[in-house]
Formats: sequence, C-alpha cells, structure tokens
Amino acid sequence: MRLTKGGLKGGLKPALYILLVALVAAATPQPVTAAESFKPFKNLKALDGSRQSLAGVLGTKATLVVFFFPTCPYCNAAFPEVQKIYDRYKDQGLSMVWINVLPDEEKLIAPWREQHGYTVPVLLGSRSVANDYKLRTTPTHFLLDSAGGVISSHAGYSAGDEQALDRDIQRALGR
Amino acid sequence: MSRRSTAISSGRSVDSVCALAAAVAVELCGLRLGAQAPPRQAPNTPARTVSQATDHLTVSATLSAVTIGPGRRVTLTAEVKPKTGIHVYAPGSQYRAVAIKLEPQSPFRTDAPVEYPKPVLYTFKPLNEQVLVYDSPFRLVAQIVLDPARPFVTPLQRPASLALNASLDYQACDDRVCYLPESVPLRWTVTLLPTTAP
Repeated sequence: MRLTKGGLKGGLKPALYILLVALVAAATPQPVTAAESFKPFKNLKALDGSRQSLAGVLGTKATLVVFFFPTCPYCNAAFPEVQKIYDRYKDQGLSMVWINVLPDEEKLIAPWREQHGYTVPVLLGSRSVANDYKLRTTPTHFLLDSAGGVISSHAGYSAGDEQALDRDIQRALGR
Repeated sequence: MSRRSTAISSGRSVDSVCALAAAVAVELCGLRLGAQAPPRQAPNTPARTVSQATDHLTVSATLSAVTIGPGRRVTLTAEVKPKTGIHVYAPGSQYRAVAIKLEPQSPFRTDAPVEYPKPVLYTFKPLNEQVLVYDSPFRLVAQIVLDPARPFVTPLQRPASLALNASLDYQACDDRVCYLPESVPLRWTVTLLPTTAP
C-alpha cells in the first residue's frame, strides 16, 4: 500500500469504498414507520418478584409502555395524568406498564408509588434498557397495538401532552 | 456491469475519489478525536487536566499534582460548563445532584466534603416547584488522599503508578425534558513517591 501520483493503491481501495458507503449511509436519515416493532423485553422483574415479558403484559387492544425513574422531574409531572388515563381505559383493553431505567433507584419505587397512589404495574429494567430502546430522556413512552407494533411514541413531557396521548389511546381502542 | 467497467478504465479518477474520501474520513475522525482529546502535554509528563464533553456540558478537571508523597492530598478542581438552556441539580434539591465520585474500589478517598458554589433557584413549571440548580459555569473542588484503609497502601520502596479514577455524575434537564443521568469518567495516572527515600 503506497501513495502514488495516481492516488492510493493496493488494499486500501476497497476499505475506502466501504468507508465512503458507510459515511453516506450514516448521513441518511432512517425513516421511522408507525408499524415498526417494539423490541420485546423478557424476564423483567416486577415489584412482587415475578418475572414479566412483553407478551405477558400486552393488552387486548393496546399497551402503553413508559420508561421512567422515580426522581425524574418530568416523570413526576406527567404521571398523575398518565395514571388517570390508565384508570379511564384499563377495563377497555388498555394495558400499561412503567419500566424503571435506573437500577440504583429501585428501592425508591415502592414508597414513591405509595406516596402518589400509583397503581400502574412497574417493572425493573436492567442497565441495558436505556441502550436497548435508545432512550435519551425520560419519560419516554411507546403506545403499542395488540401485536406489539408501535402505534406512536413520545419523549419528554409538556403540559397538555396527556391530551394527545389520550386521543391516540382512544383511536387504538377503537372508540 | 457498465459502472464496474468505467471504474476500472478510469482508475485515476477513482483514485482521486478514494483520496478525497480518505481526506474527509481523516478530517472527520481528527475533528472528533480532537474534541475529546486532553490538552497537549510535554512528553512523559502525566496529564494533570482531563477534558470531556457531553451533549449537556463540558468538564475540565485538573489535579493539583500527579506526583503524590506520603500523606499528601491532591486537589481535584472540576470546571463545569452547562450548555445553553441546560441545568444540572445542586445538593439540596430532591433530584440527583451533580457530584464528583471516586470509583468504589479506589485506593483514594475524599478528605473533606466536596466544595460547591452557591446554586440558583429554578422554577420547575410543570410542578410549580423551586429547585436548586446550576445553569451557568461552576466549579467543584474535592480534596483527595490515599485511603489508608486500602490494602494497596503499604510502604513503598520506589515510585509507583496508580490510577485515580473519578467521575462527574449529574442529571441534566432543559425547559422541556430531562436527560438520563450521566457519569463522565475522569481518569489520571498518578505517581506515588516512596514512603522512605530510596
């Protein structure tokens, strides 16, 4: 491999083609489709010690999966409204689960739930959850159809977001 | 097939493309590495300052010395610059406060509480609560000593190298979202001087 007047020679060429293709591919935004599948979780521990998988928590019509941790400020702002949504639709085919993303806050969850009167089931995520679902912020939620396909997703919380979520859930429930 | 033939017959132009791609790649890699690289040091001089950048802040952390004699402490000074619109939580808030932490198995320990500057009050509108934060450049200072309880600390006959591994832990938010907590590694190699003259 040497640099000549004609350019780079030898085994470097194929590597450079691959590099060029990789650079172009990396710069091309990947479309996100509503039908994309949600990576199924398996064997996540629940507060009662049982183990849960996505298949085991899917609702008959829709499921809301929310990633959070107890000291997350925007989770604490959003969750009173999310709990109300759960109460409103849980008997109409909506399932909901909140997944903790910070193992070092697991001990806070039970008293935090009790303090706020939350009844949405909580699962305990491992350290890899944030990477598995490419999470950058909390709360991040995924609204899934009955087969586990993603209907919509959203990161963060602003006042009024719960109305958009409520509408999405109503549509998913066929109301 | 025709594209392949063209590529073979016009090797010089392909080479030019390759060279351009290589130049772009090197430039990109160089810039990226440059953003993370510590400041230049004289040859064989251990770095006293390490700099790191995240999506939310930059931190430049300096040890007062990288050669430590018996019983001496070193001062770790971290200059933290939150990016525009970002705040991190201060001690006294109910959220995860910014902190300098040593690795759990570190042979070092902090010799005094980490010094924090005065935070500011931030109104978290969604809950209408006031929390203590840092939203502009601030400095944390930690006094660090060898932990005599650690098995490593035995009388030395000659200088020894030791890793001083710490981290800046924080949770950052802006006025719309909170980001997942981060732990930014701050690593040095320090030289321990013998407990008695060789």
